[in-house]
Amino acid sequence: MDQPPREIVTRTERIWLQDDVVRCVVLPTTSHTLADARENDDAVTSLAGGRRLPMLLDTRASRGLDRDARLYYVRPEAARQLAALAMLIDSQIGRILGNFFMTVNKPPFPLRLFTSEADAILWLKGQIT
Amino acid sequence: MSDSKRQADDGRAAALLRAAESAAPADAALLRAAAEELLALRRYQSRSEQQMAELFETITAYAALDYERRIAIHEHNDDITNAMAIGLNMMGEELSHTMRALVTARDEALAASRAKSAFLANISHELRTPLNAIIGYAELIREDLVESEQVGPILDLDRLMIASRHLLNLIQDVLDIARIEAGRLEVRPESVDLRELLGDLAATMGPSVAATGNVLRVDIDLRQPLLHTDPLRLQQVLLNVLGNANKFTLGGLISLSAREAIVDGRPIVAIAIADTGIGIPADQLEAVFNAFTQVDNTATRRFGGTGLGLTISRRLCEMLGGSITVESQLQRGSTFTIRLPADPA
Repeated sequence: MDQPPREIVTRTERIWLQDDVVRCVVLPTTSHTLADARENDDAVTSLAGGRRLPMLLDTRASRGLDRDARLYYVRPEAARQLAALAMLIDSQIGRILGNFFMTVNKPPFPLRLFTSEADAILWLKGQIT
Repeated sequence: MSDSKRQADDGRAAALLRAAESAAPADAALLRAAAEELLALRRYQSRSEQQMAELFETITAYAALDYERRIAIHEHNDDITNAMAIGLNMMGEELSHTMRALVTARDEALAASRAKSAFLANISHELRTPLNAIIGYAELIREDLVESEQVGPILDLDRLMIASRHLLNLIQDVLDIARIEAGRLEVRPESVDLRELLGDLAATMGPSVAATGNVLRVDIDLRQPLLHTDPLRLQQVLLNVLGNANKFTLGGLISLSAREAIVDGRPIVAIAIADTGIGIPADQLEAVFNAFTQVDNTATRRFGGTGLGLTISRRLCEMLGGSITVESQLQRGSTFTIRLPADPA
């Protein structure tokens, strides 16, 4: 059987799997649309090999994302793919995106905001079932 | 940044560069670096001001309900400025979505309201016109039967006309309730001489009161007979209550009285209609104001009525700024009291 790919780079994100945690770095693209969200979602599915895994999301280079993309990421079905999401917010952009997902577009899986990558990974490991 | 500050910075940078020309090489390098730093800081401040201006214009646009405006994210801006821009853009998207949903909901509500108004207007005409025709033709036929002395069918025709009038009254009452519920029944207050209105009412009720063997006594004690209210709606309430009093009393006494009073420091007029009729059970004193509720719900329904009269009367009293209440004793009679504000218009 073929091994799933280790890293996928989409138009808007660089995604790879490391120690059963999906790592995702948002690239500084001027737009992040629903089509991008679907592409990223497919990439995560492919990397995870069908498993429900936690994700560490680095949004420090993000330039924002469309409302349709935000709603897609927090749709009820997303809980089947992501066990939990840790967002790095040791940047002003990360902080504002994190606050938006905590209060406006709430996800159907556990979400916590972190300023330390080490603390984020520790929490995510605890979410693996 | 003001022009004067900009000019001052340019002047300082120029002075540093001039000084570098005549300075020792090591000092010249430091002076040129200082000048470059000053100019770079000036350029950064200028860009920040421009971005801040864009942010402020966007905030102002949102305050003016224009939620379609978006701010461009510039790479050379600092993190906090870009974070504010991203946050405002996302806020604008959410507000735009919410505003569109609200406009759609408002338009749907307006369309439903217009449809309801059109329905009420059309149904009123469509229901009453054929019924009026039925009643009218029945009266003509009755006249012919009386003239030709055909007594037999007259009783059946009388029953037909009673049923038709009852249906007409029911339709009118249902439409009134529908209009009140839809907020489409208007009251038109004007200066009304209450003594005159009550006197006319008593005269109108005279024949039907006599027909039931009752006596109507009028007792009006008002120092200030003028009241600011809707005469048509007040008449509607009083005719309904007087009609009930006459319906539920046989060979008895009906009193129509009006008094001034002060309630909670405000002047009111209390119009009371008392009868010596069958009365209302204590546990039904509030229920009589409910739609389609009558004290006597047995199959005989000997007293008739639509069951909506007191419901409409209560709603009309509330629309006139007043209230209607009842006290009663079984087999002794009832007193309905309509209280209306008597504040100067």
